[in-house]
Amino acid sequence: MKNVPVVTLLVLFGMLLVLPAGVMAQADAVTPAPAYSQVTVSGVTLDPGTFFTGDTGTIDVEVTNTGTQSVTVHRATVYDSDIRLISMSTYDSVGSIGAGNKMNFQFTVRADVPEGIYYPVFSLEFQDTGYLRYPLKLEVNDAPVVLSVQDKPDTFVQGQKSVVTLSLSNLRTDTVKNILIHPSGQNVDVIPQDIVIDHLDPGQNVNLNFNLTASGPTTVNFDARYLNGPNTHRITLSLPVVFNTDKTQADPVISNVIAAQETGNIKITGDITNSGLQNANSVTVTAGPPAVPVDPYKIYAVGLLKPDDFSSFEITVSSDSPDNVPVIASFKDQDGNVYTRSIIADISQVKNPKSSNTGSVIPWVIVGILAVCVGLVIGYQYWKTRNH
Amino acid sequence: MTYVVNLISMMQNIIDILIRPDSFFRKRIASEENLKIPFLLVATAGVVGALYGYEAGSLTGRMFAGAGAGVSQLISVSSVVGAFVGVILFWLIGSGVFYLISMAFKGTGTFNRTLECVGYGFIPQIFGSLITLASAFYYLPMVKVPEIKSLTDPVLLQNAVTRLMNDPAMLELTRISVVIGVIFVLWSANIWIYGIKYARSLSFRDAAITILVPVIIYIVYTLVMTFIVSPVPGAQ
Repeated sequence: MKNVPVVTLLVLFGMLLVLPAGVMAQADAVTPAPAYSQVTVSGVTLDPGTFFTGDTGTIDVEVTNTGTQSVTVHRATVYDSDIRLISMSTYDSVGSIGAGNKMNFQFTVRADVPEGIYYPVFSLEFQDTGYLRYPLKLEVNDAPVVLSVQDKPDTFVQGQKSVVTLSLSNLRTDTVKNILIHPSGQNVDVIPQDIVIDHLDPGQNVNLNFNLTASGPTTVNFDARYLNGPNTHRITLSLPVVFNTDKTQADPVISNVIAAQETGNIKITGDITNSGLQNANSVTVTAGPPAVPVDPYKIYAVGLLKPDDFSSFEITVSSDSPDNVPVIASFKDQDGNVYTRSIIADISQVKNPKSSNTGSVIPWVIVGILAVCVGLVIGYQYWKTRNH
Repeated sequence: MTYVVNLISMMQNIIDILIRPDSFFRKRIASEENLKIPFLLVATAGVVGALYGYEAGSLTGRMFAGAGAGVSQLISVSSVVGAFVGVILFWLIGSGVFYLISMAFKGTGTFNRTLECVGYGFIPQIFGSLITLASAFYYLPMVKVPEIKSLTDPVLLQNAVTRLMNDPAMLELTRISVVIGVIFVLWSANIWIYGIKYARSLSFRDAAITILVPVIIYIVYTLVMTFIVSPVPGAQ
């Protein structure tokens, strides 16, 4: 022992110092990582994709064990200070996720929060030790689905069918589904009674045509319901129906009315012109009470009068009719609604004819004087000729 | 000065024609044939007649105003031209008829001389036309003119024309015009008798027959058509 050199002792001492570190490093290299570290979040699905404030929805989290050992999961949950978890104890005791296997976790949450982007945290606690934390992006947006009037007639006419076109637009960032548009109102018949649309993608717009036939002034309420995820939302649109004269409707004008005696009766003739912008269908002209229409023209059928078109007419009334005869023209619009126009024809002069409406005999007196003068001139010549 | 003398001479001649036709034509026949003045007289009657035609034509034109652009103008122009040409034709045809009838009485003298003498007889026609024109100015504004918007419907056309001609003011004007025409044709006939007497060397009796037979036929026909037969079907 006395022969061991000092250098050797120093080397041994150094080895004693270094060896434990090397042994420890060798030990580290061979110790396997915990199995739970191989568990990762492989997919997240939110329904709806974008929440309205107050919406309830689901978050589906898919977890994959990419390791070679089974991992036992103690508990899974989602927590956030703003987004409220409704399904509180669903995953309090989960079980094992086999090597290479996947496991889905679904949480129901409610977004009673203002608009914004939130990050609730998905938490997976393993059996013995360790955990997984994963923030989930959840967007709350109150951008609406809009129902508006795209087109409607300038005026509504009682009993006349009018086409109203609505526009349904999705201004949201997710798709809304199962859309039902239902019109309602009193004194109005709306066709179709419902329109169903399967889905409306973000930014998409559809036109909806409704035929309205109102029998009285009313308000038509259009109620649109749709699903945003599992949540039903509703929007309404009110369309007042106020009657007015259709500015483009047919407008037959009766003019050039002349009455004349004819075989004991009185013939009334005239022109009828359509000064409107629509066709006047099935135009007929007749005399209204208290006048007494008689054959051959109790009623005169004109037929179709296009805009700016005209026709003559002739009706016959009894001589016993009063002096003022209502001349009534009736016509139908394209929906078969009947309209009338009338004027009063004065037949008093025809019933009690005067020799002339010029009312003056002066021209005839002048003619008589002329005749006498000419006669005198001629007579004077013959008298003078004979005297010579 | 010459102009004044000529004017006075012309006025004297006109008065002679109107009230002393025998004296006028006796002097006239001694001169050479000259159709210039008779033509001017006939043309003057034609111009006055054309004015009347324009007034009546304007009325008809108003009736067709809605039938298309230019229709009313076409009718007015047609009325003016028709009235003027009608007077000229009346002069030519009338002279021809008188000439032919006078041949039955072995009349002598050229056709130009007949034209000349008949032409002078148109002076009363000028006065007659002026009075008729004045009547038109009086009556035409009272006429209610129906409007025709299409020339393609003959029933519409017929109805409108019937209404126009049956208008009381129009009927009155038609009747007065015819009566005035008859009066002044009689005055002209008186002048034509003396004219044809000298132009065709006829006796007064033969000249009277030559003129009065066609004139009376013309007058009777005109009066019958105006007062007995309606001017258009359906007239009152």
